[in-house]
Amino acid sequence: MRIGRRAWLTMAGASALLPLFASGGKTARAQGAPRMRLVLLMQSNGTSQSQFWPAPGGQLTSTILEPLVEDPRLQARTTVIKGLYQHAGGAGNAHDQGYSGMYSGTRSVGTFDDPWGGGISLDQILARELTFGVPIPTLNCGVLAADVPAFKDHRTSFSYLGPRMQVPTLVDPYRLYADLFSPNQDPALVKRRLAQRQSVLDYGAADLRALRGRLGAGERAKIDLHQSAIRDYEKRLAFFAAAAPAPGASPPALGLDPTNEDHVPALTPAMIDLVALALTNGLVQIVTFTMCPGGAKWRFRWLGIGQDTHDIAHHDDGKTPDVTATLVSMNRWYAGNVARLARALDAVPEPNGNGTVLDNTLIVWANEQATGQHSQDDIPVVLVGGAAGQLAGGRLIDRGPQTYHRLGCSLMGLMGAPREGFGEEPACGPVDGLLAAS
Amino acid sequence: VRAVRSPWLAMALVSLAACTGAPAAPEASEPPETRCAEVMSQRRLRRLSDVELAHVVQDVAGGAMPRSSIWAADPRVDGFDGNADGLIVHGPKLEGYIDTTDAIAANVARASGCTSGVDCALGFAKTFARRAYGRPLNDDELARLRDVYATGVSTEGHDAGLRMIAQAILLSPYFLYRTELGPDGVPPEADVTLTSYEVASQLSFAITGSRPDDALLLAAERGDLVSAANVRAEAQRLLDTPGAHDQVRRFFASWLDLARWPTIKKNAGLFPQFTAEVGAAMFAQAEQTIDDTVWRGSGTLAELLGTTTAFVPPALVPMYGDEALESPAPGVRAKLDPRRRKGILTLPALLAAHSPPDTTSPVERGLFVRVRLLCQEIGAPPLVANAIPADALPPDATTRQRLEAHAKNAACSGCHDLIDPPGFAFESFDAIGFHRDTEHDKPIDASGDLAGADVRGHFHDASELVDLLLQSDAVRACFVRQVFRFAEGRREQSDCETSALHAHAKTSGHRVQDILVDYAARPAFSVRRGAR
Repeated sequence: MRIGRRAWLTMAGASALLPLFASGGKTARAQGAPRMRLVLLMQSNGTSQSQFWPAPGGQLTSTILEPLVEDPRLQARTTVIKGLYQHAGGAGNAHDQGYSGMYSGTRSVGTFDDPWGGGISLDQILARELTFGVPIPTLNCGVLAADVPAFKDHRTSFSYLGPRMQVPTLVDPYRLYADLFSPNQDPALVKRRLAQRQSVLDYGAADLRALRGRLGAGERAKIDLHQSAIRDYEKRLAFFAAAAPAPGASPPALGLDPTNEDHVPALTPAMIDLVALALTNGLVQIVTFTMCPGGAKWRFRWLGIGQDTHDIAHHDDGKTPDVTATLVSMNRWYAGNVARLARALDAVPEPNGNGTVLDNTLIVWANEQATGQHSQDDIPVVLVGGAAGQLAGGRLIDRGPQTYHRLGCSLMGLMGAPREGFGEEPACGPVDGLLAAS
Repeated sequence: VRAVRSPWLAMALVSLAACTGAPAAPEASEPPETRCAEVMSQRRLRRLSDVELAHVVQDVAGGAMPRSSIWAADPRVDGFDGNADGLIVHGPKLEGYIDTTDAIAANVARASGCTSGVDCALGFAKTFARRAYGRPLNDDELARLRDVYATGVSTEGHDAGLRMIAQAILLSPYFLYRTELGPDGVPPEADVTLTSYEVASQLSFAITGSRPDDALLLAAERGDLVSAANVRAEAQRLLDTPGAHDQVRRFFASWLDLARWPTIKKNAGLFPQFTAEVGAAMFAQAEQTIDDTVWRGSGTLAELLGTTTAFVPPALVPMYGDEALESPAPGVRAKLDPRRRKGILTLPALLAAHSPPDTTSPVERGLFVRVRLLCQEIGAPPLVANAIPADALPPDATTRQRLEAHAKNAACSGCHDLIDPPGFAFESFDAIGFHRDTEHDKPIDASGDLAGADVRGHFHDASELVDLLLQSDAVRACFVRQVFRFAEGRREQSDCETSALHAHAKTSGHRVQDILVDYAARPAFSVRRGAR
């Protein structure tokens, strides 16, 4: 890590100022009652099956999970789900099917060469179904810096508004900083500018309404998306106009390059900390976070690996010690980053003594596939967070093979939008054994 | 090279999803020209791609589009960034538009010379919108822009009002999208003829990637574009503009996977020759050679695929070595050894673009031949395919030896018997496109059999594979489909939609310019089917 360390420290220093933006100091900023937050994490290339799963009946830990669960507070809020499988297929290969299917429950569409997500993803379904008290209901960000560009174009975002309608991933920490914590200026000027912006947006909105009436149902979907983008933007404008002035902190000039693979060890914690700040400051409710590109060909030079880890994972037959050691090393790195997010959320108490932000959050750490050899049985899935008292934590759930659609179904229920199923399995039910009652 | 040709396989053999290796039975015994009814495109909205938007901004605002750091790139579908289904306006895109138009609107307003008064402001609105929308404003729009201006005047004065007019126009869906809807007031279910302004925009975007110029707007205003002959004449005129040359360049870059060139990276330890200078020279060589063939050569697909000359920029001279049969001079295409390289498929840029950073990938190169040149679809590997352990091979095994495992296993061979051989043909070129006779001191074997296509046969090397492809009607038909997908922003609904274009293109030798003109002059260009 060359630039990484210094850059990260500068960013961390700047980040420490950010909670001041929240009116109440170091307490989570909530609009009304604290509502459950959701973070969907995606990792690629599977895991080492022999080193990932905790022993049944034993402590909830394993070689790979250790960086996450070694902290007893986090272990007590961690649920590991074994047995989920993805057998639905779809365009492309297991990387594509899992990357776009895990959180949408739909098969990828298109061709082998050029697959895309086949349907709306969980974050966007929730954005439609729930009402939000935050200015930015959903945020799609992550880390895509890579020497080798994603082998297929879709492998950069798993958030979808509909088939092929991919929400791009925000990868620039400075932009994310500016979006979340834009320092306000003179309130009178802000008010005037808002009136102007509103007038300009209204003009286009009227055109959109007129156009909509001329279209069939299929084409109307485009207008609907455009209109909802305008509405979301207006809500944010109103929120930031009403918010207390920020202390004037501006994003530090750092030199983090969101395209440079060698900056990943600094980019990842920077993005994770910004996500944590956004959640604890009541700016964002649902986050989709791609921890790497789908089928990432990262060299993990910062761990001393230096070779294409996608290809290494491909040779994971469970019997080759060198391969297993590499997989353990990179998967522990991912686990450590999940822990970083969880700890940041656990460090901020909710208002009114209602536990910490982590208690009212669910972090889902999932993987596009189960192993580097494209197996889709026993996909590693870890839930961290109290989910507003709905999850007991500290458990391994292993009720045998279950379709991965059940995860989406369970998450819908936990988020207060219960369904009978998810995606292309409308009656699959939730994950067996996840809730204490089941 | 002995080739076996099966005429109707050219169109019928599109999906190899089963990858049985056996040619599928022809779908229909009649040629498509006689069995195809007129295929109409649907009424739709098509958001401008980022590149198109930048062109329009350049045309109407007279400057490059400001960069916004939150600009969300457009998705590429089949290599093309103009797919109508993939181009949507979501939150991040909208913010990018707002960010960007803040600056453009301020510039345009400042440059307008209008310093005060509502009449002058509305005059500016009319002029600006005509080019930005590719049609005049109607009375309702003008009245609403007057309100926008008034808001600006009441908050910060005339300049703000003028800037807001410009930004309202730049954020209107009539700027951000092109409509293919026909006249206002027609119910969504009805079939329509596009308005003359819509025809002008479709034509202009297809040929130049931007909104109509003044001459085309005048033709639309006069109602000239109802005649296919006039549309053809306008299309021919536009072909001579720089915008058209740029558009054709974009077509080839997308089709051939060179559009992402700046992001291509190679392992510097293995390929120290691949410096930034050499990389840039490779891309420039491909662009120049294609440009020259299209605009100054015959422009035929056969010449593109079969040419034995290329520009060899100074940075690439060492790489070509004895392949150049005469010493390369600036601005002149050098004669190359035709037994080594033939046509655009053997340009270093293409060979490098279809290779991972460390090694060649016959699978990637073979898929390119199947998918982009033959328009075939290869199904996904079965889930078990990747769980098959790799053979224990010595580290100095050749790439080809590593892929021989594909042939041994029935789960792999069905598809890889089709994919790998055309990829092996390019094994004489390494991951950065250098010619090589050996890999790990073992002689290169670039021979194979082309199967599962209308032309079948054995080849010894890339040059012979190219000779086979040159005889394939499927390759020519596929080329027409690619031009169609590029211009139309979607895949063809069936081969019917492109069969007439293909038949007509035969007369000119499948020149991209002619296909674009024919595309615009065909009857389906200006009619749209209603929603049902």
